[in-house]
Amino acid sequence: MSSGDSGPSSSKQLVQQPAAAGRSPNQPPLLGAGGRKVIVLKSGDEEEFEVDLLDAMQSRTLRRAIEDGCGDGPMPLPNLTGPVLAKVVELFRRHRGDPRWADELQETEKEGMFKDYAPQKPTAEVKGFDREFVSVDRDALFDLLRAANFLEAPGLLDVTCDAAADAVMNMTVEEVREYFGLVNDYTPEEEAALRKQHEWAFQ
Amino acid sequence: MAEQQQRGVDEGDPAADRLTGLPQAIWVHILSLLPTREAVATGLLSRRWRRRWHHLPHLDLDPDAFYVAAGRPPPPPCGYGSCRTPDFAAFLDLVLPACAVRRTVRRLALRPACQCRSSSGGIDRWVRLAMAARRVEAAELDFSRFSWAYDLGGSIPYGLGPVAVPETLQELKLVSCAFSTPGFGTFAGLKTLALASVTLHEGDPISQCPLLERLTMRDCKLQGTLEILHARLRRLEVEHCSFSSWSGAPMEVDAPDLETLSVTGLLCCDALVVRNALRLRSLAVENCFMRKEEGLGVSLQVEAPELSAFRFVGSVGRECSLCGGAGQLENVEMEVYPWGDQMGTAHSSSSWIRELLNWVSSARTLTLSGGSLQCLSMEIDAPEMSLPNKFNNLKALRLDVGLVPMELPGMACLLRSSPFLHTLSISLGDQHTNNASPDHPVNLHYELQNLDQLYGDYWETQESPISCLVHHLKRVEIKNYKGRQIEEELACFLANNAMVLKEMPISTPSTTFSGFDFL
Repeated sequence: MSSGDSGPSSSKQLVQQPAAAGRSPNQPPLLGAGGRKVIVLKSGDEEEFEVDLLDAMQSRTLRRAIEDGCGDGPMPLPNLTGPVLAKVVELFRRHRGDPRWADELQETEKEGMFKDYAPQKPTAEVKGFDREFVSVDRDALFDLLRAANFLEAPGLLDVTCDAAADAVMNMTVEEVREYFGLVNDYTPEEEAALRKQHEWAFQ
Repeated sequence: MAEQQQRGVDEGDPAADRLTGLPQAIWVHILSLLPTREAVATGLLSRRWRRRWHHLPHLDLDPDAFYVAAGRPPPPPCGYGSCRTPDFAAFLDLVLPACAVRRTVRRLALRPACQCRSSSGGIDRWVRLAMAARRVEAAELDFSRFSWAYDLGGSIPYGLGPVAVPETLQELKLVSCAFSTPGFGTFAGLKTLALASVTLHEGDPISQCPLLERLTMRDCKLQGTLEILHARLRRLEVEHCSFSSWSGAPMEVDAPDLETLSVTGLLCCDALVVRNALRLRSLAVENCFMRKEEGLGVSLQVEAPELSAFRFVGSVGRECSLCGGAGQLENVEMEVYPWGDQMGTAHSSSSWIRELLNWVSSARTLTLSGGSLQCLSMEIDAPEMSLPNKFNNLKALRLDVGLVPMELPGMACLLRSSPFLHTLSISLGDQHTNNASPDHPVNLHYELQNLDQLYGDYWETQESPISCLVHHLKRVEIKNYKGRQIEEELACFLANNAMVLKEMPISTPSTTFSGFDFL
């Protein structure tokens, strides 16, 4: 949650900056009154994905970029690969109106943009999708975790971190090391002392 | 700074350490999602992981969760001299000193598993450590596994002084302990306090919490009186608490900022006194008794000029003194059980309900139980009486009645006292169960229900017109109509006399038809 602590306040400032500076009147508004606007995301391996502007707002990183006016051309995301971005875009679409981040949006956008974007409880369908979403192998999950961190998308972060926590639950120490690819660098003496301290963990 | 360095190291060497190749924010998040036991065990993984769990934001130190995570059933409580939970004690000894000194713990729940280490000061030490977490915002101390009430304030060894409570602490929940504030320093920042199964020695439990806004007490034992004198309290809930004195003790509330007060199941309470409640919007008093076995309720003394919702369920008490006429009342619900026919005190029941009805006469909607109508009926000496204070704002009246003859005079009186009534809903319950709660000893005049015919049609005694029937009553709803004679007489009376009636849906246990069938 420490990522969430700094996020909202800083993004809030960024949201307000353009308004304070005053958009020039002939500049088109970010969103048309009626039809949905889409933006294009470009992965590191040059794949392009269209994503609904409102859905992209689930990511604080993308939101900042859009509000700084980078949403007109394809937006390059060099550290995300095509398959990862495809999955992320799909999750954004399925999480539309998810209360986990919609609350935050409504706080920052009291008027205008998100009026018709009423938060709703995650349905069984969304929950099922989330389960399906993270039933991938270890490396793919870690790629998604990195993507979640880069994009600062609370919904994506929750789903992926939950999966990682579930995966290591009930594993032995050796199994967790194996899963995370950790090297045991304790000296035998240190490990013996620690094992004594953590004796309860082996009961 | 240290975090920055650590982060740099982590990100620089992804091959050696796959998870730590992830940024700090991610592993903090994953650690915080693990049960505390699993999270602490990550200290064994590698040197880099050795102290990561020290920064956990939430600590859940609960023996049940601890043993379930280990795949074992929680052990039974310890006997004296034999500790059955040494693992959990070792776990606490490891976790609390390491985490409490950091500034990262935000939420902490501590539930010691046994009392057998208390002689060595183990529990006192744990509590002190838990309370020493400097940035903790919400804490829960639960002693429900103890066979006696752990005295949180009193047992602190001499020389240690009061426990220093961090200023950041906003929410505190105490379970199964005795609580005396001198053991603690001032709760400088506390906003929410919940006490469950706590024994309170002093009259005023929250004098040391100047910023408190919400107090919840559940299953608490009150050893003296209960006095809540507080300038900031906004919400007070008292549930299933009891005073230990058999002669009863008063509960007094003097809190000018209070907005919601709910008192449920308070026993051995002599009187509920609410003074100076200038902002009180919602007041609920349910099943509070002075002596439950006799069905004697609490005396009420309330001064709440801004009240908008009032709910009363229970027996009448000795006195009812309600002042500062609540002019803003929107919604009133009353389910009153008459008290003490057997001791010639019926008079107090009826004057009690009359006082209550006078006080709520500005209500816009009113719900009354059959018992309340019976109490009112006792007060009526002339057939066409109305109350001295008319319900001039009343638009909707709902009656949950069993429909027995004893209710009819009260019903007629109420209709006469509500000149602008717009909607009347009558919900006919089962006459045996609707009037009094099953554990209620009062003997109502149930035998009369079979003697309808002896009374004749009560409504024939109402000769002069009832104002609301002539001018305003547009809708009558009768639910659960079973076609008994007394029900039919009521339905006919309403259908025949309500001059401006627009609709009258009647539902039976099986079907629905319109009341105009009676015309």
